[in-house]
Amino acid sequence: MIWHPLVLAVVGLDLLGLLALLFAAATALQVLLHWAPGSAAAAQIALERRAETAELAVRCGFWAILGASLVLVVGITNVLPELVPGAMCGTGVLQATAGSGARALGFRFGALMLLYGWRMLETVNRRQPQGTLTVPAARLLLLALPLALLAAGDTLQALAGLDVLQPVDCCAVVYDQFRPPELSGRAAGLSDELWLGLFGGGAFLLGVLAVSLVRASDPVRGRWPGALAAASLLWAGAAAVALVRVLAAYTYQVLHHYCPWCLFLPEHRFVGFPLFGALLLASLEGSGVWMLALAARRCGLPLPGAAFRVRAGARRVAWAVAVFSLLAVAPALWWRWRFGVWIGG
Amino acid sequence: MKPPHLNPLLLWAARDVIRRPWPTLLMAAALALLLTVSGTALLFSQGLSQTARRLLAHGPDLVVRRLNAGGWAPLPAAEAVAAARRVPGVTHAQARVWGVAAGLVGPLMVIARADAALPPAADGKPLAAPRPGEALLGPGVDPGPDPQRLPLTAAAALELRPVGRLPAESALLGQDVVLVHPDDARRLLGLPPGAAVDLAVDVFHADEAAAIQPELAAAFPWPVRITARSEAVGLYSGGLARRGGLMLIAGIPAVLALVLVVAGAVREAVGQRRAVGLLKALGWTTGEVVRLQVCRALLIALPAACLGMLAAYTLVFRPGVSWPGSLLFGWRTAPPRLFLDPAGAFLTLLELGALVVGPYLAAVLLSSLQGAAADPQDLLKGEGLL
Amino acid sequence: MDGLVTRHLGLVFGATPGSARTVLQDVSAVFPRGALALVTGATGAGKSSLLSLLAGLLRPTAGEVLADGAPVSRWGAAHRDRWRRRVGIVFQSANLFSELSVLENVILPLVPRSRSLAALRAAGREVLAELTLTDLAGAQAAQLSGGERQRTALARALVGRPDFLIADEPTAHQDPENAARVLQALAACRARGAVVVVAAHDPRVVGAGVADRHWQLAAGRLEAG
Repeated sequence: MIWHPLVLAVVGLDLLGLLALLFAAATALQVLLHWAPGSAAAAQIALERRAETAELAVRCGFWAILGASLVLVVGITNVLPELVPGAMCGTGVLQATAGSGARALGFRFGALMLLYGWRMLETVNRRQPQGTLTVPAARLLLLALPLALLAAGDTLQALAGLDVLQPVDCCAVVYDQFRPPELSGRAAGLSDELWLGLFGGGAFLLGVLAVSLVRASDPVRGRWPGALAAASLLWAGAAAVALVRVLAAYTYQVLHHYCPWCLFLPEHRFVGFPLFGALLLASLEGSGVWMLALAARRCGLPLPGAAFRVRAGARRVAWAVAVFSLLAVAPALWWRWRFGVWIGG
Repeated sequence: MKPPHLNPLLLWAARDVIRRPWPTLLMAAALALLLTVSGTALLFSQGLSQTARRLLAHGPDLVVRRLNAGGWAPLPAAEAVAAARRVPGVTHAQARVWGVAAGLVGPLMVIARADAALPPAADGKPLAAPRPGEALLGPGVDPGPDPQRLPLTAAAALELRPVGRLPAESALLGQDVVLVHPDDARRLLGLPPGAAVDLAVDVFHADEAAAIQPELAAAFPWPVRITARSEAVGLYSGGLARRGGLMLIAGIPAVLALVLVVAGAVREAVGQRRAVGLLKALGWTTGEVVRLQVCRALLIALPAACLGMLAAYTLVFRPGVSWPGSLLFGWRTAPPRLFLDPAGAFLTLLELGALVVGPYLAAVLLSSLQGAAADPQDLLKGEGLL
Repeated sequence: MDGLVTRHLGLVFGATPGSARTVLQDVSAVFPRGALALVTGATGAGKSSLLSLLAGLLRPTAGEVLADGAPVSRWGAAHRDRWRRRVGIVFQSANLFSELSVLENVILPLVPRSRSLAALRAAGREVLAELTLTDLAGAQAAQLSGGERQRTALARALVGRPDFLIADEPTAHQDPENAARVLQALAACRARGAVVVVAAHDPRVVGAGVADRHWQLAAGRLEAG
């Protein structure tokens, strides 16, 4: 294990986050088993008090895990490549972690998605005098905990096993994707043009869904929240592929460099951070809106604040889509205006 | 102009801290001491290693010594230099004369120095290379009762006249060094005229030092042993790493102390259930109670951490610090004054600060959360009355 | 409805049937705004428990407490904490922080929500002046007499200009002059439109005629006095 300050920061933040989540999970379990709102029993009063502190703990845990994830991404993209021979960006670093680095990022995304949904539920729940959403929020927390544990475990494994002696070949990973001419220009069996179309069409669809939700008289009911969640998650995937396969070329100003991690480098003005940050926000808000709407529907009571939060979530999805689209498409438009052609013809 | 409003909760936390001066001071002192002790150990090890690396970087790429059946043997200086210079890739070769001689107080390192490239003396005056019968003394050399005479004994006995003293900044290298004229050195060490102890060789590319060694060895008519700078660096690094390992042993009580500090923080936060119950009865929320306790902990921990880190930095990097020589290296007389390189110290201190303050704050936060779960009913318990 | 309303309020202490002790049963009453209600009863009749229920410190085992129409007694603990910011409470035993000064004790409820400590201190001094405690502002609470403690507790309850003032034996340990001042402060609070509920068995309170309504609590039941 390398004792780089960044590694210590990631491990420390993860540990703090996990401690906070474990502390809260014990209460969440009690809530699932014994929650009796309105009861005068001392046990219920004590549970309500513990639920309050558990809420604070999860908020701390969420920020700690988010902070650890951000530091980890900064490390993977801008710090650790200096330590891994042959690595020029995050691709090489992830190669040196033998798979656990990529897995850790995946688990982190899952944990953050569930914890973000939990935050949305709790934001609304704080306005409910009887804590109507306490039980669904506890359920969500208990779902997020294993993912957070797996994320922290894989991160530790990745950082501990980071091979700083064996050279990696960043470019081989990226350029090995070269295939015969008839197969180049395709990803996952779909052509690059189709990915681009999915990105553009998805952005438009998400915009329409967001506006519909904002304008709906009761945005919590109906299928709109579910549609927004599915669309935002699918769109985030399609947009990432379109970015790497087509649009990133205008930032790199070179063809066929299908690397998402180089976008995070200073020579590309760290544009990967806002780009992937926008994708993350769109998927977190989209899925959070659905989790909140689902919980609100199941409780069967009118929940003051739920509609407001759902509308706010839809607005944020729209903003995230707009920011991503602008940042991703602007270099291509500039190139077209400057040179009169698209890269690759 | 109106003074800016400070958050009343923060001010309240500050008043709380001042209201209980002894527990506060005890906790702050424990944190500061913990950081001072562990910071000093870490910084010293790092500073020494950093400085040694920097100094060794100025040394020769290769050192050649002649061997015979009995071990080391003197080599003919002019012949050796000429032979080395004939090897392609060698840019500079210099014969060196040095050895150990007994002074009045203890052993001294005698080095022959004929060129004039010397740093200014301790009093700031320029130093000239010693002439026959003269000596320049390292910062820690004690000539004995008569400061005008330096008696030295090795293969022969010699009495030299001290003409200057090397600056204190050179103590890490030259604490016990005596610079003398090459002829005096040879006489003292029993070397024949024109002989040298070893040969310092520089090569065009430092990376080629290893590749050039066989060719260089073949250039001399006698067997030689060649040492590369990288080996010397490895030797020093190994020694420093071992010392660093010993420093980690000092870390065990530090960890125990941290555990005690954390336990103290936990005990204090949990023991306030009734007070928290009263605050809740007066309309404070759980979040506000936790914020108060975290503010209080920050007000204790941050100044204590700054103080501890400052103390550690000063103890290690104050120019001319001499305690490590006597305390860690057992240097009984005139321990060397160290001028260590502080590069990278800030990051190390920051790391250490986070490692000490982080667990303390985490303990305060989690135990505050535990303690803040009190209810006004806890206040009423035992009294049954409003 | 504005004010505090109790509907069929019941309170039983003890979880198991054998240890259960009924403190209050079927208490229904209205404590309107701008009125001072006096609750009297023998020691152990349940006055303090009733006040604790009204202040949201305890949760009833039956019935409910409505504050301005909201069922606060069924609210979660955190919500009741926030609601309690509108409530001024005088405990029977003053419950002051002994290591704090009188002024600090008085401003304590407002510390987390105030923007300036100076403004808080000014508000605290104002209410201390009303209760002739100005000279004691800097004194440690531990050094106060019983009467001074109780008046400090009343000042603490009044400093936030509460919508509901719940006071348990506010005139305890007071000489006649200070008892009159305490009653005057309660009356001023009522005049602001607050709900004022006072539990007392001090004959000076009963005889002063400040109460708009008088409730008698006996064996856990509340009756108009």
